[in-house]
Amino acid sequence: MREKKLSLGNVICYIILILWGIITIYPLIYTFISSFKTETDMFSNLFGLPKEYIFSNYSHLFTEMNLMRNIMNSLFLAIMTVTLQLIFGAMASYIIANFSMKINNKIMLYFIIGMLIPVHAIIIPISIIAKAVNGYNSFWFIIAIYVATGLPYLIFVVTGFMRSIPKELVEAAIVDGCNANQAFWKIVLPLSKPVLATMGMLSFIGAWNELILALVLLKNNATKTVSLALTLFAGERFSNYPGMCAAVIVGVLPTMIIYFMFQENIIKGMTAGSVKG
Amino acid sequence: MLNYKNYKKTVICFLLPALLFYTAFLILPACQTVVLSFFKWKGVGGTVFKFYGFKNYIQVFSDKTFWLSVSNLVKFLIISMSTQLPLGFILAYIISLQLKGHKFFKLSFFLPAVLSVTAISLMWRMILSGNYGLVNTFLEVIGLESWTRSWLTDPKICFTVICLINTWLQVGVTFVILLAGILNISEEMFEAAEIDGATRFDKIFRIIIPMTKDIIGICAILIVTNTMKSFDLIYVLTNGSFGPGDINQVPTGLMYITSFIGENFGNGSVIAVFIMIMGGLLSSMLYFKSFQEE
Repeated sequence: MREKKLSLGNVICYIILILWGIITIYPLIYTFISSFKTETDMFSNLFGLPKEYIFSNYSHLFTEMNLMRNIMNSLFLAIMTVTLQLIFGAMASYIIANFSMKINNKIMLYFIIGMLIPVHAIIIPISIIAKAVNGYNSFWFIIAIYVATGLPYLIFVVTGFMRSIPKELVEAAIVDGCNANQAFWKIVLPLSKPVLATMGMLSFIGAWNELILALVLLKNNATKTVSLALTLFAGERFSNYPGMCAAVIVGVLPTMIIYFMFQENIIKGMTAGSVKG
Repeated sequence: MLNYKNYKKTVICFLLPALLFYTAFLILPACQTVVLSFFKWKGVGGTVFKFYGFKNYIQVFSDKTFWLSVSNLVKFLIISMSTQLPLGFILAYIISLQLKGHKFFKLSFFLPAVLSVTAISLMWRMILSGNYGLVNTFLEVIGLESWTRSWLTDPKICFTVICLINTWLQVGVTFVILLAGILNISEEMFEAAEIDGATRFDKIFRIIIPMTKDIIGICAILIVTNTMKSFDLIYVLTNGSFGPGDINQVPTGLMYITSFIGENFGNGSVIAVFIMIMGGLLSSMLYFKSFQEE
């Protein structure tokens, strides 16, 4: 419904757009600009550009706070979560979408139940299991939880996609001598690349941003993620505003870059569960 | 469709990893939470499990802080619903007009939804801080000094402020879902309405709102479930205290504090069960609806 004429209504629309645009973007720009200021510069000149650009706020994060270690931890957790989730999720979705079994719908329903369980509701038993299997401060344990909690939504969306792949393709491959296993790797997986890429980015964003499980399970400084490091940093030196600003920017940058690179895909993926098409 | 009987091995091998992880680390723990809520059990290292019947439930339900967290949650839901739905709808409507620059605005409006809630909460803590915070300084500059306050600790307003920050974070999701809904309405409908002399408001109230009724409902449920789950935001904004006092407490926060700070895992499990039932009921309405449609 394209409106082209410059009417009073459209002017009001523009005002609303610009207003909410400013409310959304300005805090981030302000934080970005402030991260290059000295403390005195920030307090005497809150709104303006830095009098001189300094990078020590960032370099301090890496020298004093050893943030690089946290970044590597977060990256490792996120990448492993994405990899395992995609492999396990795609394999299960392939079966649910392509094989006629009476229990198919029941399996799907079983996975959907998982979407109803908030992670807050399982965190106490998780901490007990962690105690029993030495899961505290273990990356593999927390990755296992991330994989498990992300699987339901992933399977829900990916199965939906795989059902739309013509069944004849898989059947033809099998007639041509592929077995069911090869048909997955050679036919279904390559065709599902778009949806897998989208879901992979979403699960990366989710793992990078996660807080409560990391808060409970990762107690050792050597295993802490960026989110945890940010809360610690805030507890210790919140009054150092420019330093805080730099920390915030480091915290949001990775997901922001992914978002700007794959905007439409991410938006579609995040809303796939609620609207179709 | 392939017959699974010919490929039993493959079927089992392909399903097993997902089913195992999912069952072991999501379904069983969820059941365990329910069981634990009937036991008394102290400390992560604590050993003595004692069957406690409904005593944990009685303790939690007679605790004033629990009811404070529930009433905060209700307030949180009301504010989220009454800000996110209208704002999301207005923004979606305007973007659907495809005015010049709409792509840029769409991109900006959704941006907060992908950013680290921890980092964003720290950002808002700085912006709203009492001394040298951006908001207070701005108010001073434009001569509204009497409006300045410590936004995140003043008991009268702090929880409302937190709710509004949550709206800032979440409205992008409502916005894009509604936008997809509005763009699905066929162009001819609007053209026909225009020929009949429909005004902008006729189009909104007679076409768009009735046509997107279901999607508005989905958004409402999504807002409720997302709000029920919010923890990171309040945890970081209040520096882990959910205070001053317990004034900004919500059930997720109370569950965390009771179990992992107070080491009372029995009571913590009761709150976790409460969260699971409330969250489960509400999101089941959402997912089963879209599942049935398929």
